[in-house]
Amino acid sequence: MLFTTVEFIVFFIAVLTAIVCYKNRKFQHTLLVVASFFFLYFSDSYLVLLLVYTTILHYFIGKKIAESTDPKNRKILLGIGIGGSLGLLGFFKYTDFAISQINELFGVLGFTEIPFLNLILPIGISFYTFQSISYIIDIYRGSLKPTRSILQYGLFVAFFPTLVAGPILRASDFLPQLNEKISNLKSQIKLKQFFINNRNLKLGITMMAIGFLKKLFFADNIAPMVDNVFNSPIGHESFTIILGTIGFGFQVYGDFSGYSDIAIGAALIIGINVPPNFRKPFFSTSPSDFWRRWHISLSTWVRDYLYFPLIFKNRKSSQRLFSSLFTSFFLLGLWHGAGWNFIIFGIIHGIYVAVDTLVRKQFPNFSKNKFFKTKIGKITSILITQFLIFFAFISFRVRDVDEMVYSMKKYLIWDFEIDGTINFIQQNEFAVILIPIFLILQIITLKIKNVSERISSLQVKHWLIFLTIIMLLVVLFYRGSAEEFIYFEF
Amino acid sequence: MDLNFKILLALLVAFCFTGGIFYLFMDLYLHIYDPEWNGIFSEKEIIKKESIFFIGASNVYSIDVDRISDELIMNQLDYEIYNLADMSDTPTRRVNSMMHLVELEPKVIIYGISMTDFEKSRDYRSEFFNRGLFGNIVEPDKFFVNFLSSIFNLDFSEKFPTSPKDRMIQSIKYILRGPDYPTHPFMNYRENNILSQDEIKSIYGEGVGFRGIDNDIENSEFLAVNKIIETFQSNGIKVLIFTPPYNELVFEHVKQSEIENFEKIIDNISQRFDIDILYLHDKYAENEIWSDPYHVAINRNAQIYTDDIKEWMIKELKE
Repeated sequence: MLFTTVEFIVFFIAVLTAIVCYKNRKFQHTLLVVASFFFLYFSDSYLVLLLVYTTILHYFIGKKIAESTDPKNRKILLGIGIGGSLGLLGFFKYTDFAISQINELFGVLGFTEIPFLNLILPIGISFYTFQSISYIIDIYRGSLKPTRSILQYGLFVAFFPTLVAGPILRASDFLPQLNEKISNLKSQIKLKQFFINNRNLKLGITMMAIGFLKKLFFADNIAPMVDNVFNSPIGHESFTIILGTIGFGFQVYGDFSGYSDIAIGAALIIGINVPPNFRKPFFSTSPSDFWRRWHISLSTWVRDYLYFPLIFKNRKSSQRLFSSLFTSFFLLGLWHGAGWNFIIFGIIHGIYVAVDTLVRKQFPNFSKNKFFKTKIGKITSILITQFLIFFAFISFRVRDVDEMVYSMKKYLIWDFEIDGTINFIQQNEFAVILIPIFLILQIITLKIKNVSERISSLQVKHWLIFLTIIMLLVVLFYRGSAEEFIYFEF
Repeated sequence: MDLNFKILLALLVAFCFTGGIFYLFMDLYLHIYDPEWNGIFSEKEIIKKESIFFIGASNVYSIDVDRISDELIMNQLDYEIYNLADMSDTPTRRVNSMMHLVELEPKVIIYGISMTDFEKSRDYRSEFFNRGLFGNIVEPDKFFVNFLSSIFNLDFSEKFPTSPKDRMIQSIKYILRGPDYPTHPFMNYRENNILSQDEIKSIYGEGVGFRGIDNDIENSEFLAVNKIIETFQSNGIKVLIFTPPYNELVFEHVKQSEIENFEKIIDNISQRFDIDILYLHDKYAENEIWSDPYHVAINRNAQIYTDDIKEWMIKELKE
């Protein structure tokens, strides 16, 4: 169920109405679990069974790990849990890619081709798999106690606002929000009663409105221009490629951060706090800083569950540092999809972050140089970082290797031709106008902190004007059919 | 008043206001169009001549009226020709802007009446029951849409223009600088690629369908066509009708009996209003001139459509 459809609005209003009308705690919790599974079933049909399987598997594995005192047993249980869900993810997401690579490799030797399985990728599988893996790892590490209620665990894994495209939740953040202490005594912990309060309702609607604006007004209207460049990039001039790359960067940010805003807003209305997934990534001053601002829930997941264990044994070795970062980013790239372009995307970022980290380590005085503390220094760092980040976006967008190489060459080595670019701008003038507008809004919201909170604290009559402007922009400039959220593919 | 209630009321007000503006803007352009308008920022002058308007849906749009105009001049027929075809246009929609066209006093109106104008509307109730229990369980999204639509008898996709954004941008551009292509004001008249028949099948194969012709003489589209022609003729405007073409992929989904039903409707209109008809609906089905199954490409290699219309017009105008 797309957030941008009438079906979602009907569904969401129905869930909220039921929560408001019937205040029984158990009913509210059960309703949210059923609604969440229905949410996925609506789009994914019988593939919702995979979510049911993951939920049951990890709930019991988590419980058994906590009960077991034998380290070997705990390790085996953890292995079963991780293997059980990663195996499923790998099968659905990477089998056809693996077959294509095997066919290519053995085709040269004259072997018969293995037929493709043509599997449908279950929606949200990458997100709920990572979420449930973090749950059992945290229990294994002793940093989390397993929940005693499968209902609560089910709600954690399947919580509908974040189910299909994140942010990837952590059980330690989410589960405590499902209970409330009604006195200081431990025994008095009860299921939380969901109610819709004024602050959350207004802030939630504001965040959702901003999300819709980012997705439907900006991302979806920039998308045709990006498609015009990258559906067939060969032959385009350097400046056209650069324009398309910048457009794609803004498109993917508007699309995904818009989705996250809608998800966070919807969760907040219900009374659940979901951590932010983006923090102005286009103002990051280094590649490492970029990953502290972009898809935060994924980058912190990779850091905590992959990078830290890899580097743990030898923190001081530069070689170890480089290989750990490289492996982490390689897998981060692969997480996005089964394709060489995503692997290249991960590798490029792996190199960026590894070089950045090594330079800071080897030359500590360089990064502490006064120049980088000045305004010009910061702007220079931002521009250089963005030049590198946007370069990596090319591999995210262009799947064909020849076309990717062509686009990258044109991005790096300018041909200074402009006739084709001028013609291209004339044909895509609306999208081209949106890019600076989006950038200006980003700069404004960088200066003014907590924009959503500020807007939601406006008097209702002023807030109404904000809401009307957003709705008008979204509806009057609607493209006719909303593009699917880019991260739904992952 | 409870703040929660105020917030919901604000949301409702914003929603209604937006809906009202949306409704107003989507048809505004058709109602304010004036061939002599060049926009706030343009000072071009237009020499007023007798005019000919093409009207119909997007399948009329690829007719190159400038090419026809040049040919007409060579035949001592001096007209300013405008292609006022509009995306997702139907006779019932066109009725709303009909009087505006009359006020612009064209000499001739050439109306492209399509087979899809008389297509039966979707029967959600039957679709819902025909899918059966298993079909509805496996595809819950379709179940939901069919179920709700059958209850409320609504099809949102047929109620709104295909792309509000395109319409909105056209309106803004029109107000500021006049239409980009003065003789093709309502859509972007830019060259597009011709797809081969194989490409059309592979790209659009699954999306094409036809629900059959609605033969009911009380059919609102049929009544609207009659009303439009009556109004034009009673205001001294000559009306010519042609049937815009479809690609062979569409005909794979249309029974011969449905084509005959459509031709009967057009014959009926022809006899009733004494209008000559040019039948093109199946003429180019197999030609390589298509950008998609419903639209002849705007392309120099797809001029056969324009040229046939041109020949027919010269003959009709000379009579």
